[in-house]
Amino acid sequence: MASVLRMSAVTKRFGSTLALDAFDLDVTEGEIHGFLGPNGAGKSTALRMALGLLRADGGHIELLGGDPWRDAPELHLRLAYVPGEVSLWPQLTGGEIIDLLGRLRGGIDATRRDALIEEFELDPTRRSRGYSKGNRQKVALIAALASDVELLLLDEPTSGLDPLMESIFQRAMRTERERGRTVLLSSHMLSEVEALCDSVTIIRAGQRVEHGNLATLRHLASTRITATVSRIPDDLGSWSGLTDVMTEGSTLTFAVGADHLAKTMERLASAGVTALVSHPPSLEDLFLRQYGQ
Amino acid sequence: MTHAPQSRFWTIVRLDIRLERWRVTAWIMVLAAMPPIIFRSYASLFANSAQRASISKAFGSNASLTVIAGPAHDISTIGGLTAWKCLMFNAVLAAIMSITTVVRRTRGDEEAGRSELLGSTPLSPSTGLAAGVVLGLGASGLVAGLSILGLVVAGSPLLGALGLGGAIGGVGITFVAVSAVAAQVTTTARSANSVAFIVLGVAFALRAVGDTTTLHWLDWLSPLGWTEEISAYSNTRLEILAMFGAASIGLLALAKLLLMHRDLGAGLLIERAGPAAAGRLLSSATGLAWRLDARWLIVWAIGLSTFGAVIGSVTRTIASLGTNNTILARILGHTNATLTDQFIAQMLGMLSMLAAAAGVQAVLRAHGEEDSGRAEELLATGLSRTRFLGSHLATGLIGSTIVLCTSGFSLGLAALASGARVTTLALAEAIGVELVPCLVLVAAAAALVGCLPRCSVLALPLVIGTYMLTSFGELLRLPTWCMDASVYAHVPRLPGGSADTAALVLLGAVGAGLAAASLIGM
Repeated sequence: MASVLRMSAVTKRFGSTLALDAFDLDVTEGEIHGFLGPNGAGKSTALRMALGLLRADGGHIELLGGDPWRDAPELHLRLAYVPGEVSLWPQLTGGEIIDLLGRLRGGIDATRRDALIEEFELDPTRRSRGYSKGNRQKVALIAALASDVELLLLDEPTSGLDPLMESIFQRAMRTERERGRTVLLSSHMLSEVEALCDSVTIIRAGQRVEHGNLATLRHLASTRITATVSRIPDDLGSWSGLTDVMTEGSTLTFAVGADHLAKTMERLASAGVTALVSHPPSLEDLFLRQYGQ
Repeated sequence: MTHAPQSRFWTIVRLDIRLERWRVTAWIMVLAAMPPIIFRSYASLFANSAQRASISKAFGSNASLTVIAGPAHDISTIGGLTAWKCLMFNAVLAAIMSITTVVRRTRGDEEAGRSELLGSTPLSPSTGLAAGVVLGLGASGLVAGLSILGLVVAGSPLLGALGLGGAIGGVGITFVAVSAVAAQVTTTARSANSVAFIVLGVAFALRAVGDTTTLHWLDWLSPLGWTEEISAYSNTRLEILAMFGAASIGLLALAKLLLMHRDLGAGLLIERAGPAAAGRLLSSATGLAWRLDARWLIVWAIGLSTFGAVIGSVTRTIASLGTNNTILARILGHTNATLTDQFIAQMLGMLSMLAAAAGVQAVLRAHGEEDSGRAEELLATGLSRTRFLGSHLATGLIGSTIVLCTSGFSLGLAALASGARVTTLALAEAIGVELVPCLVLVAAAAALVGCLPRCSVLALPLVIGTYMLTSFGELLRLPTWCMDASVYAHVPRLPGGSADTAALVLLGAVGAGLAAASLIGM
């Protein structure tokens, strides 16, 4: 699979603050790539640099085979972007703005535009002055989704949407994947990324700290296990690879890494296990592992 | 596809026109209508040459008018008189039109984040700037074209019309380019406006000093000075119009260069980090209003004080140049006044109007806060609506007072230092009197915000219009009731005149009434 966006060792400074610190990002064609990190970690800066709105102080960025700073207009014909803070022209209506942005991107699919307006329940005749944050986001989202482009860059597109709209957004994203489009979805909603994304990149303080296929990442993290045994083993303290161990009567709870799972199962069996519940690592566990608690 | 980038560019130009259509149309109509109307009215007012000769003698030697309007080139002709009356005024207004329009559609959109949305579309990075500039150039071009057409229709010789209309449009175009550069240097629309307005103020001061002293070469450093060199209605030198073009091309190239080397949202001036916790000032609505506006009021105070000092320092030279002119003194309602007194009174009147503009801007922030939704956050706390507007009104009143006092005393003290005969007491009295109409205008702006919020945009035009009524009404021979509509018509001319306390008390009462109405209306 070809790479759609590749950032290698990208550095960006704003005055004395280092926003991106040798940051790497790889987005492969056809995937929905989750981009996770708390506020201020550098997600929006990375997206703006991918668009060529900001210039890199160091490192290399390749977007759709070109240099975003140099070839911005040509490359932008092939992508659509929804900024984190959507700011619109107060005196234009939502419908006007959707058409304007669509036309600038080289044309808009009118049927899809109308269908999306209906799905997202947007009133396109209202002037954007009166829109809430969520409605402004819908305007930018509809314009992006109705454009005929290969790549969607979405910066926390659902932060102002209600749960109902959130599920409509997820359905729309799945449609996008079926159509073969690539999506880079920045978010701090772990459930959303977990439900949608094929792979993730986690950013902390301007650096990539975790990345890859979601299934592989899960494998690396600990599984949480609750087991009921006939007797608590005396040597429990010496079992390797266990964390957060708790015992309550004959029930013990712990987390164990993938590499110690087989050995631990053997030991549980000899301890006379009668019931066992295992929770695979959630994205939250992955995330918190990077950020501590 | 080859034509696509161009059609996208024009899409943005059309967007800018759509967003600015009403404002720019109003500007163009006012600016284009003024020269022909003044030409027509002068043609009927001063039909015979004897009348023109007397008016020419009366005004030609008046120094304060030279500071404001430039030297009177051959005002014994209708055209010359028209040019002298409206050239500098319209040129400054055209510059203001260019500054506000271009900054709003470039740095303003960028600051609001709209440029980020457009920046992600297949537009070249300079599109936003180029579209704003095209809009500004078009507006100035229309002002020039329509002024020329109107003047010719009104009976002006073609050459003079070309010189006058061209000069006004030329200043507009030059300030489109100045604003384009200012928008690259700063990160907010407000500071971009300030930078451009400071350039305009410097240009005005350079030519004012150049016109009234022997340092005549200073005129050549100022686009406003070039307009005078064109001398539309006597020995017209149209070739000077090329200087506007040359300056604009140079500045636009600089703006483009700065743009191509910067990030979206960034400027040359870097924002400093601010305090982590609120100081004691930020414990009330008035504290917040003051914190938001203090910077701008200080900029106004420093700018106008510098201007006042420059003008003040040439007072004595100016006064000794002119002859005491009774016709003019009578017209200005200022008998028994020495030339020095006349000059200082005129200049204080102008400073009063500008100080009112500063205070009105601070009061209008209340409307801006409401419009942007920030007021909601404040009013959801224990703050009442009355106190909310009151905080901005107080800031405006205090701000105007500070601006007028500092600039007025700079003018007076510089005049004293230059050897002009004026006492500090008379000066203080004169500033105190000018403060009354100034504060009434600030209260009127608050009344608009409080009672007729939709009409808030009229607050600044009201200030400028009020001042124009008094300074031009006499020459246009407007009826008395019309002239009396201006607060400045009811203010005694000090120093040199006598203070009419009753009128001042009445004006003060009107101001207090407006302030009360604004708070109740809110």
